[in-house]
Amino acid sequence: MLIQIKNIKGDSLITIKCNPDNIEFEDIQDEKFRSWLKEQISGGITQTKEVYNPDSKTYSIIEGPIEKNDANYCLVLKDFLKRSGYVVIEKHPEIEEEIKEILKKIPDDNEDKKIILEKLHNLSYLEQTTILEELKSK
Amino acid sequence: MEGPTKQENNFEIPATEKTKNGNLISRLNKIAKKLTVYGSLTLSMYGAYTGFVNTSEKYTRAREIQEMKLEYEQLENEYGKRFSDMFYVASELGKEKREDGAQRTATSSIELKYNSFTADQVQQVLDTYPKGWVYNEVSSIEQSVEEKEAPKEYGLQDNQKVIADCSHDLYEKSKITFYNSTKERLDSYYVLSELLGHELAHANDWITDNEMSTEDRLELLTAITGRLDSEDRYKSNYVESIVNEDKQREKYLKAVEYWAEICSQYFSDPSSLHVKDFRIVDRVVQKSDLEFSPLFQKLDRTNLITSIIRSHVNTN
Repeated sequence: MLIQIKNIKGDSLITIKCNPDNIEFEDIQDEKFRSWLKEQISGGITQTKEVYNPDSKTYSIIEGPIEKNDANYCLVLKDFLKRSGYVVIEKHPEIEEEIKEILKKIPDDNEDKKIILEKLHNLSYLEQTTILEELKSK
Repeated sequence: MEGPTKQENNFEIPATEKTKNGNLISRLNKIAKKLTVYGSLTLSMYGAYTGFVNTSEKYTRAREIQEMKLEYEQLENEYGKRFSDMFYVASELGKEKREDGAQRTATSSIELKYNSFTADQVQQVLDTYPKGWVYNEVSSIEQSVEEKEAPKEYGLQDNQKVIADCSHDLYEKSKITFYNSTKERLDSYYVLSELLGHELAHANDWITDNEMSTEDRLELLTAITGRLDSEDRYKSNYVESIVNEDKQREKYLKAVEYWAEICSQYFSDPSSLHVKDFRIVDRVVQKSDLEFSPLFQKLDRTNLITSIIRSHVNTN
C-alpha cells in the first residue's frame, strides 16, 4: 500500500510504502514528521474498529492495541494518521498502469489520449477510476 | 384496457414467520391503512383509476418487479432469515416514518483535542451534511462525560474504550454519542468529518433510513454486497477486521461497515473513492438532497471548523 501524507494545509510531508512486514519512507519532505511517525510506529499505534451490540442495538467504535504483524496493520496505520489530523491519500499506481495499457490500443494522434496521458499521474483515484470505467465500457 | 393490479405494479416484501407473529404485528396493523397511500402503490392506484398506464409501461414495471424479487431472494440467500425479518419491518415502518417531518437534531457541546465546539457550532457543522440525513434520522448528537468500556462479550482485551456509538433501533431515530475518550485525543476535522460521516451513515442505511423506498433499500444493499465481493473494494480496518462464526452474520456486519466507511470517505474526501463506491453513495444522497455537492460541502465544513478553531486561538 502506497500512502501519501499531507498536513491540513495540503503540504506533502512524506510517502509511505506499507507492507505487513515492512514500512519504507519515501519522498520525505518533512524530517520532523518522519521522526514523529517512526516514534509512533515503534511505540505502538492503536486501532479503531466497530462492534455491534444486539441487546442495546448499538454500533460502538472502540479503540485498542494492534500487533505489528496484524494483516490489517497498514489499514490501521492509515486510519491512525487520519485520527491524528493528517490528510492521507492512498495511491493506486496499478490503475494508472491499467489505463496506459488500454490506451496503447488507441492511435497516438488521438487528442483525448494525449490529454489523459498528460494529466493521468496527477488525477485523483476517483478521476482515474472514472476514466478506467469509461475506457472499459467502450 | 384494464389498469394494472396492485400485485402487478408493486413489490411487497414477503412477511416471514417471525414477523407474522408477536409484537410486530400489532405495530404493523396500526400502519396498514397508511401504507396504501405511499410510494409505488400511489402509482399503481393512479394507473388503475385513470387507465393511462400503457402496455409498455406495464411490461417495464413488471420487469422491474421481477428484478426486485430476484434481488430480494439473492439477499435473503446471502444474509439469511434474520435479515429478511429485519428488512420486512424496516420497509413497512419506513413508509410510516416518512410522515415525521424534519425536527432539528439536539446537539451538545463537544470537546476535542485542543478545541471545543458549542452546541450551536455543532449544528452549523450538521448543516454541511445532506438535508434528510440528519433531522429526520438522528434525534441527538451529544458528547457524554462518561468513560464507556467496550462490551466484554466480544472477546476483546480489557480496557478498550468506546469512542463513539450510534443506536440502530428500527422504531426510533438514531442517537449518536461521542464519549469522554474523544476529549484531548481526537482531531477536530477527523471527528466532525470522518467519524460523524461514518455514524450518520449508520442512521441512513437500508434498514434505518426513514425515507428510503423498498426499491431503494434493495438496490443499496445489492450494490454494497456486490462491492464487498470485488477485488477493488474500499479497504478499511472497520470492514476487514470483522470475524464471526456465523458467516452470514459476518457478511452482513461487513456490509453495514462498508456502507459507513464509503460514506465517511465521501463526506471527508470524495476524490479518494473508487467511482463505483462514489456512485453508490451519491445516488442515495442525491435522492434526499439534490443540491448536495460532496466536494463543496467538504470545503465549507473544513473552512467552518478552521474558523471556529481560529476564533479559539484569538480569544485565548
